Amino acid sequence: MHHYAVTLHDGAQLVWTDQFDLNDGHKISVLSMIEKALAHAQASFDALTGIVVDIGPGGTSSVRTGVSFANGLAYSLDIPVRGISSAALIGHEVMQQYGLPVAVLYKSIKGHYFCGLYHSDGNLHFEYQTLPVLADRLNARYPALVLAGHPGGVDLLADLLTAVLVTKSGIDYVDVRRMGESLPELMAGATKFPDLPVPITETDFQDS
Amino acid sequence: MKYILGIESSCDDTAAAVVDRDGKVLSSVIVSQNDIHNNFGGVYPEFASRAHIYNVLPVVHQALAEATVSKTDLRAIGVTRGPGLVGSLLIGVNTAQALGAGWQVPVVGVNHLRGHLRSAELEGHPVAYPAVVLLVSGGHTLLAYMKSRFDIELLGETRDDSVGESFDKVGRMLGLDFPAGPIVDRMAQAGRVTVEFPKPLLHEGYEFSFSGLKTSVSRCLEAGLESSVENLCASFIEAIAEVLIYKCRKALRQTKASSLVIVGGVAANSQLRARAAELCAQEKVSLALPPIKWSTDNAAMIALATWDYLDQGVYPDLTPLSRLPLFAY
Repeated sequence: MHHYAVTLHDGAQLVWTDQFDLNDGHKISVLSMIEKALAHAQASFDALTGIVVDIGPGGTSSVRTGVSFANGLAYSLDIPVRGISSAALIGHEVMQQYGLPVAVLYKSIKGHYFCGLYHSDGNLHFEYQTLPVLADRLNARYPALVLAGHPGGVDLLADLLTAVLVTKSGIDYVDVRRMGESLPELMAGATKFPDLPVPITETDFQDS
Repeated sequence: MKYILGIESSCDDTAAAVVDRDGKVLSSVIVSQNDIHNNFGGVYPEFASRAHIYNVLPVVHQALAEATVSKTDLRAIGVTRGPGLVGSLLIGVNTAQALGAGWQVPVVGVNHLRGHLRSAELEGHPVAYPAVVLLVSGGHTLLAYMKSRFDIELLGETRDDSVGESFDKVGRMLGLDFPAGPIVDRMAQAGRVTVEFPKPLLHEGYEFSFSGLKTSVSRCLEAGLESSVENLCASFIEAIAEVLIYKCRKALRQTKASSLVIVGGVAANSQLRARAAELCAQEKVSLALPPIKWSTDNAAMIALATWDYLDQGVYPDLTPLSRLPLFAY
């Protein structure tokens, strides 16, 4: 959402994590972050065997930067790449703590929010709605939910979920260490060019 | 390492090309987004950026395949860093940076305007310097003096709309499809000049202004002064061509340049090409008009301009920029 992160896993263990909060005014490049990670591991680019990239939802430019870089690097090295939504990563983490379905909120435009609904079977489903419409749907569908993601959106939605037992997780971004530890299992769904990941955007949900 | 891979994504075309030092184009692949933007009557930046993500690597892949070159043949990757739509530029720049990292090939951020200026020299057509260059496209309208390919001086540019933008806006008024330039041109050939539209800033230096002309067309339509779309198009183009050619003549005489170069998408306009040929014959200078395929946005011109950067040892910052002056690298 507002963090840039790079993790490096050597197949046996996590060897590097690095994270910047964009709100701190950092001007960073994905290339420099990856170079830093590889330098730490005393490895070169051609040592990479796979890439996992966050496909959003999130800041349009941030997500596109990450995805276009990941795809370009995967193409140039002829290695597989896996696109995964940060909602799945956050949902998985929150589910492990609370054992309940998770709603991960992302603020979008014109009063709309992305809501990633993560279930115990690992299934992730997105809604793209205003909070009142979203609340109507969730009130009718869930007896209990854990909320994560955009803090302001979480507070507003919690007030509207009158028929749901709500828990606020307080988690609003991906834990980069946990993501790094999951890299080997995430690579299971990775693919090579031309089957490359694309960012999640509001245009994917115009009819939802 | 004899070749440059060029990548262009500054607006609504995704392009990649492989070009050698002499401007020989081994491949040039362009994926247009006209179908996406047609309903909006202009480029919709959000959709443009998204389409670039889908298109950029397939376009690069095809360009390399058609050129039958591999990463070991590449001297560098040249990518447009601006001016343009930032959301579109960042897809090209990030992709180029990643390709460069993976292949261990240098990446050079190129000024899109410098690419256009060099487009006339693609495929072995050297320009006689010094030259006066008119760049007329959907995003830019400017007049420059090039002492050499490295030494560029801006003479003047538009204060508001670009020429290409005026074509699209007038096309929208007339209910024509986007991009309107080729359609307006075709219709004008079937019409005649019946309305004398104003010729903005004709006698005021080298600057241009086209927003007033567009308004005049609108008022003419509202007042019902001319009902023939063909005649309106002919009258509109006459006003634009008159301004452009007048300023080119003035620049040629003042600078004593050896040639006139006209580049950018509007350089494809048939009336402008004919008037430019007349002008150059009268002024006894050579005329460099790139083929229409190199007039519009393409990656071959970016690749050719990249050689200039390498020759000068210039590696600009790769941050995408919406605005970038002509004189900047």
